[in-house]
Amino acid sequence: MARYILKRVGLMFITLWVIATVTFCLINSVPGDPIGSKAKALSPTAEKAIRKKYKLDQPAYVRYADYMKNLATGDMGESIIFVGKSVNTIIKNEFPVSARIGLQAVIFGLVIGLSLGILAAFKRNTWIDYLVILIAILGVSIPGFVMAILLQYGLGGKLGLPTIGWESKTRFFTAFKYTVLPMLALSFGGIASNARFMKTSVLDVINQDYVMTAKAKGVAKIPLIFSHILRNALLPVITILGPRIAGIITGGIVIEQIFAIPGLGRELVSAIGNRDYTVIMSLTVFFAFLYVVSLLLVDIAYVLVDPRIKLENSKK
Amino acid sequence: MKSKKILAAVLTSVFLSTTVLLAGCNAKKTETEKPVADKIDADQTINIVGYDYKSLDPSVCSDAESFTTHSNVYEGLVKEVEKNGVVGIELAGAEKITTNADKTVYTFKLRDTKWSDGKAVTAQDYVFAWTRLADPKTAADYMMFLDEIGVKNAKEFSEGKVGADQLGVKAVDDKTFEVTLKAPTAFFENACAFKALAPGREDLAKAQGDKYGTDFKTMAFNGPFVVADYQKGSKVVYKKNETYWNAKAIKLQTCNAHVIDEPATVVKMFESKELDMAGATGDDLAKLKKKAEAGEFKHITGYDPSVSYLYLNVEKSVLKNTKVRQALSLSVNKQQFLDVVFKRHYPAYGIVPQKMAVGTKDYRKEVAEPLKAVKEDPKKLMEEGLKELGITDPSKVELTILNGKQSSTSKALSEYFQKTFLDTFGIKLNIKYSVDNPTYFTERQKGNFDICSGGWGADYNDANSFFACFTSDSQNNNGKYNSPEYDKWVKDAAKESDSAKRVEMYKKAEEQILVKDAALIPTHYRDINNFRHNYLKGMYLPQFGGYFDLANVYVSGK
Repeated sequence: MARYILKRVGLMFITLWVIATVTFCLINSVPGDPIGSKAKALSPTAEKAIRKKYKLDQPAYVRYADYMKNLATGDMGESIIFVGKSVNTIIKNEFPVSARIGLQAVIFGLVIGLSLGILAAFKRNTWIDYLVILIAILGVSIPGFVMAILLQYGLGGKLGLPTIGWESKTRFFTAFKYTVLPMLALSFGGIASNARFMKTSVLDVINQDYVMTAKAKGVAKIPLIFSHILRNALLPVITILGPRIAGIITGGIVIEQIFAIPGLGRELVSAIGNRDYTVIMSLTVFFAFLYVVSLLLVDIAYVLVDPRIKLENSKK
Repeated sequence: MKSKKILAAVLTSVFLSTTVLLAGCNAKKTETEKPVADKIDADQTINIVGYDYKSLDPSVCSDAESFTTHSNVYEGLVKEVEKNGVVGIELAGAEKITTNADKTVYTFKLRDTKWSDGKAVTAQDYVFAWTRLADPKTAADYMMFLDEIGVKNAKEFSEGKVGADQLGVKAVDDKTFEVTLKAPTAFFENACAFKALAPGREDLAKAQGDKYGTDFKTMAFNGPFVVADYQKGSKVVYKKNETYWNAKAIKLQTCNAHVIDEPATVVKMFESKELDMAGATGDDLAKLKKKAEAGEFKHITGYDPSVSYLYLNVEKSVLKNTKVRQALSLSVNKQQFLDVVFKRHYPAYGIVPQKMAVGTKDYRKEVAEPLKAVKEDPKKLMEEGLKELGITDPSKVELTILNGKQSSTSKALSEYFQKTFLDTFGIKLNIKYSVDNPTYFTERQKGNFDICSGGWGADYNDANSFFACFTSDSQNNNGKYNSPEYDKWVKDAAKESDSAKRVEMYKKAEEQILVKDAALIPTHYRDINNFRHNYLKGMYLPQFGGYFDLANVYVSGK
C-alpha cells in the first residue's frame, strides 16, 4: 500500500508538470499578452519598462525556466494586472471561499441525491420514482447558471436570502444565508446525477444473489437495507465522488460570477480575460493539483471500503 | 492623452459587448437639487454597483474601475466638480495656486490636512507620488503622463537619462509644492485633478515594497472616505474618513459597492431596492425608463466624455486615396446607424463631444461639428477616387472591418456598414471578429486592418485629450494617420494659453482630420443612462476618473 501511494504521488507530480508545461505553451501561443489587455496605446518607454519589470522582454523558455524554478519552491508568482498581488495570497484568500461553497454543495448534493436515488429504487414504479426521474431529467438538462439566475430571480432578496454577496471577513465561515442560493444552483445537477446513479446501483444490488440469501436466512428489513444493500450500492458512488469534488470547486466558476462570490473560479476567468500569465498558470496548476489529489484519495478510499479490491502492488 | 487605456478599451468594447460600463452606474451628470430642504435619514448607508480596483496605489493604475476607488479615498491638489452644467475643477488638497508670469512654475499652497492614520499630508507626499509615477522602476501605465502635461525633465527621467532630483517637482517646505514645466501647458491645472497625481506615502511604500497598495488595511487615505473592507470580486466597502479635513460636510457613513457582472442581476437588485443606483441597457433600459417616467425613481441622462469612431487605415488598399475615404465617411447616415444598432447615444459629426473645455471655453459651443456642413455626393467622390486608383469596377474592391469579440452589437454594427457600403458603392466589406479583447487590441495596435472600430474617453477636461490621439507620433493613432498640418495645430494648441486662439487651432485640426483627410469616421458620442431611487441624493458621476463620487451623497426619506 505504502509503495503504491508513493508511486501514485510520484506520478502526480509528473502529471502536474505536464499540465503546467502544456498550459504555459498554450497561453504563450494565444495572441495578445498582459500588456495588450492592461494598457493599449502605451508610450514605448512605458511599455519597455513594464515588459522589463515582468520579464516579458525575455524569451518564453527563460520565463518557463524561471516559473518552474519558483513553482518548485512553492512560489506561484505575482499577478501582472493586480500589481503586487501574489498568487499564493490570492489562493490563501479565495480558496476557502470556493472550498466552502463547493464542499457544501457536494455534501448537500450527496445527501439529497443519494436519498432520492434510494427512495426511487425501493419505490420503483410509484409516483416517488417518477418524481425523482423528473428531477433527474431537469437537473441534467438545466445548466447550473440558468438555475442560478432562476433562483436569483425567484428567491434573491426574499426570505432573508441575499441576491449576491459573501462575508469577506469570515471567508470559509461566512453566514449560511449567503451560501444557500449558490449551493442550490451548484448542487442541482449533482443531485440529479447522484440520484440516477444511486438508483441504478441499488437496483443492481437488490437483484444480487447474496441479497436473496440474506432475505432467505431471515435478515430483518432494516439491516438488510443498510448493511447488505446500501453498503454495496454505495461503492460505485465513491468513484464519481472524487472528480465531483474537484469539479464542483472549479465548476463554481460561473456560479461565483453570478453570485459575486470572491472565489478562485471567478479569479481564473478574469485572469484569462486579462492574459494575466502567472495567475492563469498557477491557478491551473492548483486546480490540477486538487483534481489529482482527489482522484488519489478516492482510490485509497476504495481499498478501505471494499476489501475485495486489491491494489496492484499489495498483492504479492 | 495616450491614455485612459482601460476606459478606452471599455469604450471600444461598446462595439464588442455593452455590459462592462453599462452594468454599472456610468451616468455622469449631477442632479439639480436643493439639499437645504432635505431631511437627513438616520441610516446613511447606500448600496451601489462597485468595481475591483487593481491596486490602492494610484501610480500603477490606468483603469476607470481603480480610479473610482481612488476618487473617493484620495484627494489630489484639485478635484473635478460640475457647477451649473459646466464641468470644472475646485481646490481640494491645495488651498491656493500661484504661477509665475510665463506659466511655467506652479506653486501649490497645501491645505492643512491629515491622512487617516493621523499623519499630516505634506508636499513631500506629492513629490513622492509624482516621482513614483514617472519612475521607470514603477513601470506605470501612465509613466509618461507627467511628460504629457509638460513637467520638466519628466521624459528624461522616465527614460533613465536624469535622476529623480532633476524632475520638475519640488517640496519648498512641508506645505508648499512646486511644479516646473518645460513649457506652458494650457490644461495643466485641469490635468492636476487626474487620479494618479494624488499624494502618496513614501514611508508605507518603503516598508511594504512590492506589496504597497495590495492590502487596504495597511494603507492610509486622505480623501473623504476610506476603504473599510474589500473582497476582490465581491464588494468594496467605503466608510466615512473621520480625519478628512472637511469631514463635517460628509453625510454618508457607509457605501457598499458590490461587484456584479450580470447586468440582469443589477436591474433586478435595483428594482427590489437592494441597490440604490443602477445603469441599464437594451430591454432593461426601456423598462426602467418607463418606470422612471411613472415616478418610481429618477432617470438621469447625459453625455459621456467619449467618442466612438471607425479607424480607416490610410496605408491600406483603396483607403490610401483621400476621396475614397471621404466617400465612405459621407455615406454613413449617423442617425439611421444609431437607430439600427444601438437605439440610443448621440450621432457624432466631430471628434469632441459636448462639455469638453478648451481653457475657459466650452469647445463644442464654439465650434460646430465639421461633418454636419459637408454636403458632397459620396457616390461621385468614390467614382473619382477609384478612377484615380485605376479601378473601374467597385465590386472588385474588398475591405475588412476588424471588431472586438463577436456580440450582437458588434455584429449589428459591422453589418450596418457592410450593407451601407455595398448598397451605396457596391464595395464588399468583410467582417472579422477577434477572439477577445487582448487579441483585438494587439491586432489594432499593429494596424492589421482596413477599417476598425474604436473609441476614446478623455483623461482630463480638455479637448486636447481627444486631439492628441491622432497626431502621427501617438500610440493611439492606429489608422496611421499622418498629417503635418494636423500635428502642428494640435501641438501648438497645447502650448497656447489664449483659449480663443486654441479653439481656432483645434477647429482647423478637426476640419483637417475629418473633412479634408477623412482619416476617421466618427459614429457616435455615448450617452449616459443612470437610474437612482428617489431617496438617493447628491451623487456625482465624474466625467474624468472613476464612475462615482460619494462626497456629497446622502440618503433622505428612504
